[in-house]
Amino acid sequence: VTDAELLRLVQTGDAAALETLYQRCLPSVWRYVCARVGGNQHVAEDIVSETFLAALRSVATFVPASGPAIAWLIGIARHKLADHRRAAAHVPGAMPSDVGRESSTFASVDARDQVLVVLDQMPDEERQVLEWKYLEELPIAVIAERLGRTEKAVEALLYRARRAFRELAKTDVPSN
Amino acid sequence: MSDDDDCRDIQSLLRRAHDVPPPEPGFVRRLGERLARELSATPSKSEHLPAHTLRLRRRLWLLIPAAAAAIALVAVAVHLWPRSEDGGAQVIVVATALDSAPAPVTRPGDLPENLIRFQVACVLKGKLADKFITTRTPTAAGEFIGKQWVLLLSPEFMAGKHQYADCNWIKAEAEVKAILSKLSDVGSREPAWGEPVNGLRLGLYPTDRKGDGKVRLMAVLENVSTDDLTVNLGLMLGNGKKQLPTAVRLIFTSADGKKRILERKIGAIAGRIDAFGVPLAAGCRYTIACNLTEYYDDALLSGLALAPGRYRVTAEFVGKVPANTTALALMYYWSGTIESDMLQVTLPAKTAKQEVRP
Repeated sequence: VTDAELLRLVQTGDAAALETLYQRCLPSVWRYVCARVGGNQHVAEDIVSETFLAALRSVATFVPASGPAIAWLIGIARHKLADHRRAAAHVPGAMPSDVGRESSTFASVDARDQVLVVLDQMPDEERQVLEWKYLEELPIAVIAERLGRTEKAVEALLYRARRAFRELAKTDVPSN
Repeated sequence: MSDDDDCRDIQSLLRRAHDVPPPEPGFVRRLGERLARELSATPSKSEHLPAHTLRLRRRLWLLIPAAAAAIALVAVAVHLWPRSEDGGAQVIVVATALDSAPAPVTRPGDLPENLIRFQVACVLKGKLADKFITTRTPTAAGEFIGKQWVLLLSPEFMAGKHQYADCNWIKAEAEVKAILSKLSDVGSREPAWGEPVNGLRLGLYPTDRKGDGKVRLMAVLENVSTDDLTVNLGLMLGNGKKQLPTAVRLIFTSADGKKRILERKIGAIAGRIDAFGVPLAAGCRYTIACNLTEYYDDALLSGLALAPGRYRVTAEFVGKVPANTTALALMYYWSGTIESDMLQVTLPAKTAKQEVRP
C-alpha cells in the first residue's frame, strides 16, 4: 500500500491506516526535525507532535497528485520548524534549539549543517529517496511500493537524487 | 570515483548529518495514541460513525424538509384559507387530541363516527375562548389521540351548526419540536459575557446538551486579546486524572437579594497537587461544565440545597499564579478576577438540588 493510499484511508477515518502511516513516516519526520534542531529531543518532540497533529487536522487537503505523502508531511514539518524558530527568536533568554551539539567538534557540526543545507535545497522526493535508501536502508522494492512507482522508476529517481546531491554539494560539503 | 564509492560517500555524509538520537518509545506511543484519539474525535469522518448514528443523522436531514413542509402547510393554511370566498375558516387553532367517544348516530345506516376532544394549544387566527373543542369525524379515533393538529373551524362550526372541522395533522410535530429546541439551544449557547479584564472574559450559559430536559450551566473563558494566555483553573490530582476547576465559582442571587456563593467541591486529597493550567491561545475559548451537584456553599458547609424559584446567577473566575513549583507553575499565568454577565435561571421544585431552567 502506498503512503498516498494510506492517507486516503486516513481521510475516511481509518485508524489502522493512520497507525501504519504513522509508524512508516515517523522515522523520516523525526530525523528531519531532530537533525535541524541540533538533536534537541524535547524541541523535536514538540515539533514532530505538532507536525502530525496538523497533518491529521488538514488531511482532507492532501492531494496525491501533488507529490508523495511523506513530502507533504515533511513540508508541514518545515513550516513547524520555521514557526519554532520565529517563536524562539522572540523569547528573551530562550535556549537555542541546537543544544546538544557540544559533543561534536566544530568541524563536524559545520559539515553536518552544510549537508542539511544541501538536502534542504533538493526536491522533497529526491531528498526522501536518498534518506530511505542510505539512512533507513530500505530496499528499492519497498521504496517503490511506498511511492507507488516501479522499481526502475525509483532507481532512476535515486540516480537523479545522487547526482543532484553531488552537484549541490560540490562547493559546500567537504568530501568524506 | 566509482558508483559504489559515490554511494558510500553519500551514505556517510547523510549519516553524519542525521546523527540524532531516536525518538523515545514513550513519546512514540503517546503521540500515536493522541493521533488515534484525534482521528476518532474528528466529526468530518462520518463514514466511520456507527451505523445507528449515521441513520439518525440521515433521518435528521430528512426531517428538516419534512418540518419545513409542515410549517409551510400551517402557513398556507393560515394565510390562504381565510381568503377563499366560501368555506373560509373563521378560527384556526393548534390543538392536541385528548380522547374520543363514539358519536351518536344521526341517521340509521350511517357509518360510525367519533367525537374527538381537543385541548387548544394556541389560536392562530380568529378568537376562541374555549380551551377544549370537540369535533366529529368518520376517521378512526386512534389516529387522532395524542397528536397535535391544526384545526380549521368554519363559521358554521363556530355557530354550532355542525361539529365537522378540517383537521390537518402536524405530521412532523415531534421533529419540528426537536429541531426548534435544537435551534433554541444553539441560540442560547452564546454566553452572557462579562467585561474583559487584561484580555480575558468570562461567560455563562445554560444548555441541555444531554437532551434530558435538565439544563446545565456552562462557564466559558475566552481570550479576547491578541496575545496567548495561560489560565490557572484550579488544581489537578493524580497526575491530571482528576481536574477540579476550583477557580470558577457560581454566585446565585435569589429574588429577595440573598447571595449564595457556590464553590467546586474538592473532597479528600492525598498526594501531589498540580496546577490546572490551561493554555488559551489568542481567540480561543475554554468551556467548563458546572454540574451543580459538585458545588457547595462555603458559608453553610453544605450542598447546594437552594430553594426552588428564580435566581440571577453569575460566574466568577479568580486567576492566580500557582504556588507550587511544577513545570506548569513556571508558565506566565493570567491573574485577576473576572465575572460573567448575569443569567436568569429557575430552580424547579422537585429537583432543586441539581436542575436549573433558563
